[in-house]
Amino acid sequence: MGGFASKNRFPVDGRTVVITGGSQGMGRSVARLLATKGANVLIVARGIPNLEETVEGLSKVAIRPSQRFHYISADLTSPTEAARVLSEATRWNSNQPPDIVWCCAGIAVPGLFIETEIDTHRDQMDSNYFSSAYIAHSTLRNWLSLPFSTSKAKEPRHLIFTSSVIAFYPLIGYSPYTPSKSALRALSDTLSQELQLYSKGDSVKVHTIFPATIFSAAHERENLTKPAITKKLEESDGGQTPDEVAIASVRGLERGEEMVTTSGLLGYAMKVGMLGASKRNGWGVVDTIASWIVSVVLMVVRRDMDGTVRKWGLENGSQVGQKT
Amino acid sequence: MPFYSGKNQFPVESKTVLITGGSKGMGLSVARQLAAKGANIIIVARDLEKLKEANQYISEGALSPEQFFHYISADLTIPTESQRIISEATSINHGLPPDIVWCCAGSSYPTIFVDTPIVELRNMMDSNYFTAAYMAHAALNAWLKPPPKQSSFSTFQSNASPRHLIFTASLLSFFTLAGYAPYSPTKAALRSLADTLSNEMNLYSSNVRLHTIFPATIFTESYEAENRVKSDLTKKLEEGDAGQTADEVARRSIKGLERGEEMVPTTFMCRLLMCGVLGGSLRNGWGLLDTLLSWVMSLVMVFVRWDMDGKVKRWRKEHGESGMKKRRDE
Repeated sequence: MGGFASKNRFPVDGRTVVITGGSQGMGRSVARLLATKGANVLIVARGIPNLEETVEGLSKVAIRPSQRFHYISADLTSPTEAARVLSEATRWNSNQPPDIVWCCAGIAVPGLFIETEIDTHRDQMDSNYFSSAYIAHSTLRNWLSLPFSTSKAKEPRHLIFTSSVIAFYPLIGYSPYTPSKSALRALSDTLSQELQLYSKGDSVKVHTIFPATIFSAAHERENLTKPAITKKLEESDGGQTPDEVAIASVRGLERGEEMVTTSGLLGYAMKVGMLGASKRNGWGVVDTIASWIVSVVLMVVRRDMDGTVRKWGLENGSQVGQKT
Repeated sequence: MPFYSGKNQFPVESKTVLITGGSKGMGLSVARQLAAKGANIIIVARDLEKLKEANQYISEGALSPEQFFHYISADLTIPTESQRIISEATSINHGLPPDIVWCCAGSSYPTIFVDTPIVELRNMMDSNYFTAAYMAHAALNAWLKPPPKQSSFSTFQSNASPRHLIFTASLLSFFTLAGYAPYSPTKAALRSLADTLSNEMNLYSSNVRLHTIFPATIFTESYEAENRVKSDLTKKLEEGDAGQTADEVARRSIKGLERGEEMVPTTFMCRLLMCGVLGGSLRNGWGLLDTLLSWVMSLVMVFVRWDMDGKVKRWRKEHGESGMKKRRDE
């Protein structure tokens, strides 16, 4: 149930983890954190220099000499690459499929909808949704087709998506990005139900992480195109370092949570505002009561946000796209 | 803040409405019903024959001889097509962009995720999300950034009455079901886009209203096609949904729009489930009823989810893992 039990539901010592987007930002922090917990780590990204640098760093924080680290360079927006990554990872892992697959690959390119080129909208969907959906497809097909006798793990396997709190509370300026993150949440929820279908489904768990602002190199690039009004509305969200996000994510996973927020009370509140049929933590009592409170609060928040945007529009003229 | 003040917040008489996916199913019903309320209708779809037939049917519902009816054949999954359609619609409409754009184009391919051919994931996103996103992009650009020579006339127009951009999402945007993994994310993405745009439209002095329709099962040709690939498990999980005809969905949608609703569920079940995931979406009226319902639903959803999971597990015990019923000879 994850309520009062202190059992670690996400042991990684001696297990093999594949991390997409593992050469920078949150993905890299996750890779390092899991390395310090004894995992073998294989990171996937496009750029080889970053991949090499990261793998070198991983061996320095390993806790056992038997731990292994590797990288694969791939463009995960292509459907066939996901299958290739899985089979290469399996070969590298002594012909055993990885135990854990964590999708961190993704990027945010904010901008006002009408000011943003159509191609950017497509690219965001590819980079954030399809890269994860393709990996999930290859991974699950692989895991669920294994004959029971060769799946040595009694511990469940884990498939982890990285979405964003923006999926719980869409904001002006993120129209190319938010839909891709909402799509991920819906996929994760659907898989959560579907995995009950497989007898080995008890041994495959799906999770989604919902971070808020992460102070990474990618975040700095994001701020270059972000409209000023968006920055204003985000003022109340402090932000976390990638390491903090990694720690909070793993903590949630160890507690057995399916939907993991990392940014404290704000992230949690945003999640419970949109729970629907998603799996709640424990018996769901706290989540449900919290959702009642948040439901009222969000009405006020929304009205306030709309007011801020309207005022901005009036003050800055309606042809706003002004970047600071 | 939209109130239920009794005033029709979606007047269409003498307005020009562009409807994608307007040659069959829900789109066709919407087109016909709006024609009967006095609107000029332009429908968009791929198949020319179907468009001709549909256009004929729609024009038969016209209120007055002044109304015009047109059709444009296009593949909306191609990004540039939406711009072309808006330009063509603008020429047809005496140099003004359409007043209302309603995106009904879409399709459903509900299969268990691991059994889904990978190409379908992209097809679904293109068919359901991008056709609407591209159209929204073209329409909003036309409304909010008129070409210089028209600016004074357009500004006059835009100050006169609101324009409406309408997406058609689905109950599955907020309530996922096993077997809809290729489809639900596309509809969740649509809802998300609508919410973002709703926030963004406050920025512009031009009055653009955004709406999203959330139907459940609609009995159409496409529904029959969908059922041919759908797993038996999903059919079982959907049992509680009685379903509606396309005409009924169109009727309820238009009624919701006339009441000024931004999120328009077409059945009571859809409304209840919607209230379970309201988040920051704009509520109807003062939001009292929606909020109260959200409290109830928050509690109810715990049981609904537990029940659904139970059904899937029992299915697995009885029928195995494929999502399909065991055949008698097995």
